[in-house]
Amino acid sequence: MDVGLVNSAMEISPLRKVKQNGERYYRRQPIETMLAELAGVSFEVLAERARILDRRSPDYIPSEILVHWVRQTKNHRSDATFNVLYPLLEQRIRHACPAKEIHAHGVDAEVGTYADLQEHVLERVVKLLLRDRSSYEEKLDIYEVVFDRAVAKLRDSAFRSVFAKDNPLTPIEYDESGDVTNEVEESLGRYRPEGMTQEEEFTYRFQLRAAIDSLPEDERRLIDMEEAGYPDQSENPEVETIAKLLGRTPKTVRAMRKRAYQSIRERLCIEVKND
Amino acid sequence: MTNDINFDDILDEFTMEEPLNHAVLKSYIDRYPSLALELTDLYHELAMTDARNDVESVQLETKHLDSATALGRTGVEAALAGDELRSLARKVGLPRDFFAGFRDRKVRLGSIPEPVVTGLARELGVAVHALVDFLRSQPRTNTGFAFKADGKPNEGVVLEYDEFLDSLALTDQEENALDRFCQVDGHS
Repeated sequence: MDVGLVNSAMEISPLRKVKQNGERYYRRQPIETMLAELAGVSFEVLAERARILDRRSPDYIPSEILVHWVRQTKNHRSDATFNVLYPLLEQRIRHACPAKEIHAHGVDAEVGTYADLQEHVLERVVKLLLRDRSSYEEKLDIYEVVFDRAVAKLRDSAFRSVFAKDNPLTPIEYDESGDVTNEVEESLGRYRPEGMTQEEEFTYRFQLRAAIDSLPEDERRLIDMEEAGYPDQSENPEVETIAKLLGRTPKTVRAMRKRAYQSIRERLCIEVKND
Repeated sequence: MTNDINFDDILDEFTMEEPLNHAVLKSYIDRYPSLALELTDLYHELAMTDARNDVESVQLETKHLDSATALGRTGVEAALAGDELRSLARKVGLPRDFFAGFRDRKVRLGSIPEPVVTGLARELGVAVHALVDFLRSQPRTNTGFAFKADGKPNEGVVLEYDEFLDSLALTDQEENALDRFCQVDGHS
């Protein structure tokens, strides 16, 4: 087996992509540290560890490192290491972009699956890897920084450009007749239970995010915009508001909010006191 | 670096923010209001990803992966078999041995230029990752690959792409066809 991969890891070259402010992309410190630590380990051991997908395992190797190693194989005269590492990377990509059913408006009306998105994402990353083998592909650098997020970003843009276009959702009509001044003031923080362990906190955050994920597009956006601190409306035309950002009337925004929080509460099985 | 705002770069930078929270989302929307919806959607995806990773208790899904991979390889094999290969060679204007070389995995994958791989995937109507998976796999049977050149390599020898091309001794017309074949996504 070619051990050039291990030796080359001792000279970890910096990433080349540059941000808008001129700062260069950089790997996170734990990744840099682990790359250096693994430089002395045999390829067989590295490959074995790279097969581990359980993040809780002490031998787990982050995908960012796997991307770095696969990129290094372009300097090899043999494909031996590439042939071992590539399928492991493909597995990581598939795992980070799972196939998933999409439901319209909370009803089990399937309008498609993420399977196509998974293929799209995989295709895109593989093309970048191939380009990187002939000349440095800066667009791959982000995968050495935040692999899972980079895949999520790719999936999001793919969904926007391809999938959503093919499957337009039916606009929801909101009941705007309610008296908004009597609404309970809602916020995600209001739902958060007290005294959670870290594990419970992680679980809660995941369930909450999954609940938000189940909302129609604009309701989901509304929740995050509101949490970011944007008001529904403003007398000051210079101020960005949720109504402006979503292109809706303030009244519709309020109706959307009411519906969105109700859905989240139902999803999380939360009863809210109207005090 | 230019002064032009590259929206994709902005989204990439947002993706790398640590910590990523609603305050960061707001700072980006304030700076790039025209990207408000894209940033908000991306924020949700990234928050979902981070939350999933935090709680993840992962099981190996090798069965799913293996079946998906096998399906991809079968598709490539079918597209490079018999009549399909002949009609592809005719359509593209390249010798059959060009495609047979890939079918028989006689070319080292790492030496094949990206435009050739993507062009081949395009012509075969298969995904690039499926083709890459096929090219890095071992051929199942000896399919009788033949070289035009005198210096016929031993069976099982894997060539660098340039050596492989030399062995085919392409005509000028075929060279031109190869150039066209490599015109993918606006570049070669």
